Amino acid sequence: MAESMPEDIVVDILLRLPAKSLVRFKCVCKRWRSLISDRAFAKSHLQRLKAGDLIPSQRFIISGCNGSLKTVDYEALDDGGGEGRMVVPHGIKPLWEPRIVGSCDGLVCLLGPSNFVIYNPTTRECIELPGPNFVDRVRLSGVSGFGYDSQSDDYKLVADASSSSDGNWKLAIFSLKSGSWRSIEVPFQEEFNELTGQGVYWKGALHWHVYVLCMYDKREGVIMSFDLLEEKFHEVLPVPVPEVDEDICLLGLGIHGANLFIYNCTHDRRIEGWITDEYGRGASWTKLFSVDCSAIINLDRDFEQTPLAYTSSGKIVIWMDTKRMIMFNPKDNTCKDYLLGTDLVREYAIYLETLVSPYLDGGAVE
Amino acid sequence: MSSSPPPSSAAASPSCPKKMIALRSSDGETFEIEEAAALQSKTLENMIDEDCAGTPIPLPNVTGKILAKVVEFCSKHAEPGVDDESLRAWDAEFVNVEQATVFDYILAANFLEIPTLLNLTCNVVADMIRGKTPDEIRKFFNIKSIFSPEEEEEVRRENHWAFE
Repeated sequence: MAESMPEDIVVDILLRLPAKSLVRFKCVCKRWRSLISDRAFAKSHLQRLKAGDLIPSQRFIISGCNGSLKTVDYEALDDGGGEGRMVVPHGIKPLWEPRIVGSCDGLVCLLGPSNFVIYNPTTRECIELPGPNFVDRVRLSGVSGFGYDSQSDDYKLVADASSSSDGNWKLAIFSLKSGSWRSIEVPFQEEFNELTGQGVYWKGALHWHVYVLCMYDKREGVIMSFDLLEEKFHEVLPVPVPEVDEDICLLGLGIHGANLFIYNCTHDRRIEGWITDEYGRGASWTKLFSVDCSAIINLDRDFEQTPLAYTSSGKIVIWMDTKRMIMFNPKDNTCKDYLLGTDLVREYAIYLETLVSPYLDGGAVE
Repeated sequence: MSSSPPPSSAAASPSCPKKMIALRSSDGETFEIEEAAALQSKTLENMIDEDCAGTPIPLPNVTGKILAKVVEFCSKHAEPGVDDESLRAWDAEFVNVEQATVFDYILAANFLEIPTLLNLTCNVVADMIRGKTPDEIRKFFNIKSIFSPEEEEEVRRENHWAFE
């Protein structure tokens, strides 16, 4: 009965499971271990994941000042899963305060003291990238990002390689497929003045929020993107305009499921979040939430609290400071505190639990 | 090929009875199914197209007990005017059976190529197993694990953190 289950049906069933379960099931038998480690299987699994609801597979990875990396499963917390399951430490080689560059398809790109690292927190596969030979150390203070180029079926890492502020701007691009770096020159544009930090990967491009000057000396918020296929910057989406622009003290981009997510926080502690799934100038934004957090966030401190996620039960995960995050319930204005551990946490990225391997060739483990 | 007019796949008119297809299970039971319902199965669809739907179609891989339920499933899914939510609720009840029966449904859906039933039952099994330990999985699928002692040690070491 069970022995007569054809293998293609077993594969069909396995492809429906979350990556976390599949990693455990590598121990079941040789055949399953080989199947689950196979690169084509990982690709099919990712495709199925993307065809459905991504949110159950979404997690945060946070990096602490002593080199610790941890995963936060915020939906499990919301379900009352208990704090013991919240923060799962990663045992990878200690990097001194790994900087988080970005994440795509379940791969997280980190910068250690001397190298970039591509890491899958779900399978714990990790590779160190060779450094580029044309700059001593690529600066992470400029723009950076990590994402997927579907046309060349390649993952690319982008980093600022400019050495001086001359007319043109230099970007270093690493291709995971070829295992090598190249640099490109980007003709400078006025908007690039404000362009900095890690870009958010979404739909084949990296995205940053910037303010540009438009008519009558007004500032307009737009989203700039760096297309990983064309390797060019575009001004893409106008941002949803809040009621009073001067009130905004914090604004940023993130990911919510398959959508690009933008949040803004005002001086009186109102936090708004919007999402879009459309690409391009005509795209419309849907308001995900608009809440008054003055009951729980001090008015006398600088507002640096970032909304990270919106849970399926309608709670907002807010990163408060280097030691803790809270889950705010706008329905009754209550919140729950969660400690992030003893390390001061400075960086985070949202990622998907997948089986995608940073070893693009190869596939099977041994 | 016979010289009769081509089989109608359109809805039957009031004056013309719906075309019924006869199926015979492995243990000799005969079942009748409306053509519209039978078309849910790619296997049956091919047989109907080739006009061999005259005599009861023998299905040696499916017992009467299971075939009865498969006919019920296909008939329900061919029913006009059923809204998505009711159908989903009906499907949930349909698969609310013991594990061995779900496996039988899977094998029947695979043999008869019924994508809706295959999808439904595979999802059920996936939900059943996602939280299981490797040992429970082996019992569930009746798998013999044949790692050598060295491989067993390596696999255990490699994945110990997955069980935290």
